[in-house]
Amino acid sequence: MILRRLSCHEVRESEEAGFVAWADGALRGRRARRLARRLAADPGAGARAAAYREQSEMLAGLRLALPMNDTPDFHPELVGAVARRLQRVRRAQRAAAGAAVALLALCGVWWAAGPFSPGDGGRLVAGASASAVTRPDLSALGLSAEGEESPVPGVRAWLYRDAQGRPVRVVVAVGEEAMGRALAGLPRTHVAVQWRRGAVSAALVAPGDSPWLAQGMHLVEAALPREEPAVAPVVPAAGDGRTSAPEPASPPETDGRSL
Amino acid sequence: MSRLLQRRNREAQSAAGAEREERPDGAARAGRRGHEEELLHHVAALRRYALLLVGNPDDADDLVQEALVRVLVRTRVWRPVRDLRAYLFTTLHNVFIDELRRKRHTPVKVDVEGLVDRLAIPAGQTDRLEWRDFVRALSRIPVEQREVVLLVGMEGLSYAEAAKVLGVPIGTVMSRLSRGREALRRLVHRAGPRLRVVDRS
Repeated sequence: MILRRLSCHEVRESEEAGFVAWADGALRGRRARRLARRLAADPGAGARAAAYREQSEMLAGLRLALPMNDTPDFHPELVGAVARRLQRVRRAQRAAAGAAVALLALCGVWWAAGPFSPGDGGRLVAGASASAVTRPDLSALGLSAEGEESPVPGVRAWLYRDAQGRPVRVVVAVGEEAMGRALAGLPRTHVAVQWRRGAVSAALVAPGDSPWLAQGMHLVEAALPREEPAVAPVVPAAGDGRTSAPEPASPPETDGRSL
Repeated sequence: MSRLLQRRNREAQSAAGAEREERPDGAARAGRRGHEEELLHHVAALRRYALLLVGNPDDADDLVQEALVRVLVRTRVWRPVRDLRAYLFTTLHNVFIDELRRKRHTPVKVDVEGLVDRLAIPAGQTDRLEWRDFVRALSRIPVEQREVVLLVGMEGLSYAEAAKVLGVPIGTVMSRLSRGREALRRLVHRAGPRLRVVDRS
């Protein structure tokens, strides 16, 4: 550690800062007691600190002496408009926070017991082709479908509009890289909820204040193709009353890039 | 009313009109009233701060109006407003700095008598002459020190809050505050003790 000797000016400034902090009531504990002892012992310092305390009282008095409750000289609608804007912003932020919490909870549930869990047999087709995906029906969310877009080769994307006419997109891709390219240039007003199933990635891109994000994920998920269960449920075998399982279907041959 | 204020009035009118069109009907009326009351409370503090910063009511209202228009135009949902008071004071500070840069060669003229006339001074307390000396001394300290003195001393912001509003480290706030308060003390002291009537009989 390099110690530097303080100049007289710096020492004085530090001392004055201590007096000001004491006058403002910003000092606590041992430091406040030490300064109080110093002020009691040094009349000059005590007088300066007393002047600062008087200043603090006058500054606080200014606040009371200037209540500013007269009508401001600007447009009367302005304050109301700003209040409405701030209210909307806070509401949207609360909705987004709620949606994020709901999403996290949903992902947790899915991971533990839902369609993402490895053992349930409800998986997407291994190395799936996005071309097999049909356009998800999001009309239950009040979204109107506008058509399909091709933002990046190998990616499928559908455009919808919400009630305010804002664009909402569903994107399905194979591979993280393709999805990353498809989501590049996302508008700052929008959030992308993205999830992955093996090689297939899906994303729902919507305005940040949309309250239906979790529900939208469900609907998109429902539209994704699923393979037959790898292990079929155990069924009673004919005749002898014992149980047996049929042979699992062999997985489709694919290189995982056949979008 | 200054030309800038008239221009800002027109801008505010159009911005307010746009906000009104976007406003949903029905719900959350009580919440809106609460927001308006909270905002009005902060607007009073902004106007008081601006008045002591620039020295006359027209320029102060200009500044506050410009800050509110900026909040209306620039506030976005992805930028959370956690502390509304700090957010408004920060915007006002930015507008003030922009104005200072624009009017670099125009000296700020503080109407001390006009300011003292506006003070609602309780009878029997610090007299008018003392207030006049204090306000005059306040108007003479450098503007970056005056900002800190007003934010901390008058509006009661903590050092950390003032640092956030002004966009400077907390050490800078402490240094500006102590230098500003010392300058204020010297200026008030230089005005000297005044003769007072202690007994009219």
